[in-house]
This record gives sequence, C-alpha cells and structure tokens, in this order.
Amino acid sequence: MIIAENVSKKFMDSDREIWPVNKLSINVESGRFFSIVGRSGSGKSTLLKILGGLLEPTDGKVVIDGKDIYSLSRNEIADYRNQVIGFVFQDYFLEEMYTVYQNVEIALMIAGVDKKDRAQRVEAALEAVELGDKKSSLVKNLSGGEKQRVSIARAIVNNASIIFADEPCGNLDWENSQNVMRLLRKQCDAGKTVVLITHSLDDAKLTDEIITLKDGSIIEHEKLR
Amino acid sequence: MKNSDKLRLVFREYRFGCLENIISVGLQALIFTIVILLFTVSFELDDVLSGYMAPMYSHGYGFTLFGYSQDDIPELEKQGFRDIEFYENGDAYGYRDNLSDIWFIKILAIMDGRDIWNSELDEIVNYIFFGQITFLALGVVMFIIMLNNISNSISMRLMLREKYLRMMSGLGCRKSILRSIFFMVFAFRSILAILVAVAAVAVCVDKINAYLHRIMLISLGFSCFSPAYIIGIGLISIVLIFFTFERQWRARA
Repeated sequence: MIIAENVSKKFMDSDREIWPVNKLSINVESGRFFSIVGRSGSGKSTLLKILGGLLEPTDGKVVIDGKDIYSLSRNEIADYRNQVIGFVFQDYFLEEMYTVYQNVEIALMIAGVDKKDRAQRVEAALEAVELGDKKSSLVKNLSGGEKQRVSIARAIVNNASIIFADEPCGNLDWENSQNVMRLLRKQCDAGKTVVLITHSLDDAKLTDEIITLKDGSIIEHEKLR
Repeated sequence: MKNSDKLRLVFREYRFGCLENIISVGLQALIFTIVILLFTVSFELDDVLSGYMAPMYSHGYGFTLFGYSQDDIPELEKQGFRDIEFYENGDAYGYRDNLSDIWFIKILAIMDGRDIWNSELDEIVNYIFFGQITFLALGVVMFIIMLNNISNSISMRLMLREKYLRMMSGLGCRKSILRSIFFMVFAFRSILAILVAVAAVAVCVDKINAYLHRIMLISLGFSCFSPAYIIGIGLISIVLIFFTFERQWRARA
C-alpha cells in the first residue's frame, strides 16, 4: 500500500515560491491500477517522483508497505527503488546503443544478480511484453511502441511490486497505446500495483481509480472498479 | 553491483562518442608528451651544458668555496666536489666533474650562510638557472592546460550522459556506484593517454640523444622505462584526475 500524507513540494523560481504539490494525501491499495490525471503543470509528474522516491517532499511523508521511504538514507532509498519499484517513462529512458537484452539486464546488474540468473529473468520479462524475438536488436532500431515495451520489461524484471508509469503512451499512436495499457493491466492482474500518470482520459478509464489534480491538489477521486 | 558488472558498464561506456574518446586520448597524450619533454629538458639542462663544455674543462669545473671548514669535506665530497684545498684565509677551492644540480647545491650553501662561486663560470651557471626555470615554467603551464583539457572533457561527457545518469538513478543505482563507474571511464582513458605519451617521449629522447651524441658526444638521461617512474606518473595522474572528476561530478550532482 502506498500512503502519501500531506505531501507538499516547494520550488523557488527567482524569489517566487511554487508549490506543484500542495498538502496532498492519497492511499493506493496494493494490486490496484491507479491513474492520476490533470493538465500540464498540475503536479502529476512531481507527485509521481515523490511517490517513487526520486524527489524528497518539502513536507509530509510517503509510506510504502509500512515504510516511510524518506526516513531512509539515500543509499537505502536507491536500493528500495531497485527492489520494490519499477519506472516507465514517456521518453523511455533506454540506452539506444545497447541491445534490448542489455537494457533490461541493467536493472538486474544494479541489484547484483548473477549473470546466469540474469539471462533467465531477462528472457522471461521480454516474453511477458511479447519481445522475446527482439532481444538482440539494438534499441535505436525499434519503434516507439517496442521501446516502451522494453521499458516495461525493465520495470518488471526485478519483480517490483509497484510500477510507476509517467505518460507511457504520450509518444505512442492509438494501437501502441492500447498495447501498453494492456501490458500494464496484465501486471496489475498479476498482483502488482500500477500508478499511471496520464493526460488521456481514455487511458485513465482503463484503470481502477482516477484522481484528478489541479494546482497540486486533488479535485476529484473516482473509483471505476 | 558486482565489480565485474561495473567494469562491463565502464567498457560499454566507450561505445559512446568514439570520436570524442579518440580525440581526447590523442590530445591528452600530445600535451602530456610536451609536459614530460619540457620537464626532462629542464632537469637535464645542467648536464647537457656541462657535457657541451667538458672539452674546455678537462680538469673539471673549479669553484671557490666560501664559509666551509675541514669538517665539511665529507659533505662536499657527497655533493661531487673533489681535490678540495683549504687556504690560510679560510676559503677553499674544489673541483666538480660536471655542473649537475649546481643550482641546488648553491642554494643549499646560501641557506647555510656559505657560497660556491667561480667568476668564469658564473654567467654559464646563470644561463643554466634561467634555462631550467623557463622550461620548468613552460612545463607547469602545459600541465595546467592538460588538466583544463581533462576537466572540460569530463564535464562534456557528464553533460552528454545526463539522461543515462538519471536513468540509472531511477533504476536504483547508488550515486557512489555511478561515480565509481564514471571515474574508471575517465581514469582508464587518461592512463592510456599517459602510456602513449611515455612511449612518444621515449622515441623523442632517443632521437634527441642520437643528435646530441653526434654533435657533442653527450646524451639526455631519461628514465621513462623505469617501473618506479611510470608508477609515479600514473599515481600522480590518477590522483589529479580524481580531484578533477570530483569537482565536475559535484558540480553536476
């Protein structure tokens, strides 16, 4: 379960204070497909970074499975991200000159997994995203949809229990978007918690719960399933 | 992360910016070659000049030694003086076979309130001093240029790899591990440049020696193949690269 309690984040723009996330509280139950929608600048991505341990909030706390993640040291947060959280980004964040296999393998290298075990786990993750036949291809030769699937494979290869996806369909056409959403739903059905950031209401409607953000605060919370 | 995986990531890093890697190694090697050559010439100038003048001073270079006593003979002999004679007025006279380290010995004497002097050789000793200082200063300037070049190259690479660094961080890679990977990337690159420079200097010194031997029957001393010398240069360079890297890393972190 992910609990954010009165989370705020302040940035300074010259002398002006900006609060992209302002006293926001949410509970995301384990195994749910949760989406956060809102216009550009509403604080979606900042919130996702805070929930994912990438950006420390100015106030409030984030508790994941009973652990206040910002009470941990920097190294402990990094280890926690590696073991518990998987990220999928709009810009893929893949190494173009690496092969598909190497891109997925890197998450296991960070975790210190042996080379022998890595091969098996990478292949399983690539099969799960229907890219088993592309493992030797260079990422630069893949389509946008395929790149995003590699990104999903990398997010799940460590058996992360939570997946944070920041606009994963932002650069994709309708067909590839549907594919990505189907794969994320599949992960949710397998017991993982998926938090999706999107500005597409069509994508959000495929999830279990939608919260709408405006100026860093929740203005609507809708349970669909 | 296992050390073998760190090394794997270090070598994968060389796939990026191949041309930049080659130019950086080439430039570092070139500047390092000039630096070592300037330092070598600076340290060897006294030997070269005394070798050049040796035929005119077949009995050695005589110096008046002011402020020394009979008790100082062992020290003077250690400094290369021979046939030391003391006069009634307290001054002494001694010979050296060469002018090696003459300024170092002269400065040591002055610091103890003594002096080593020869009116005939005074001008030449001054030439040696200013020649050595000039080459040393040029070497230091080139060394600073080299450090600046390394620093710019590190800064540019870290800027180009910002997305990769963010990706690794997002995947849960500790900052200290990322730092060690990138330090190794730059250190290996610079070590390669140093090895190329040492080889280039060896070739240059060989050519210079062939020339000097032909016209003056003397040669430059250069211990570039001594393991202690290479390890020394390597260690100093790695420490300097570490501090340069740390500065850039902290600026970007």
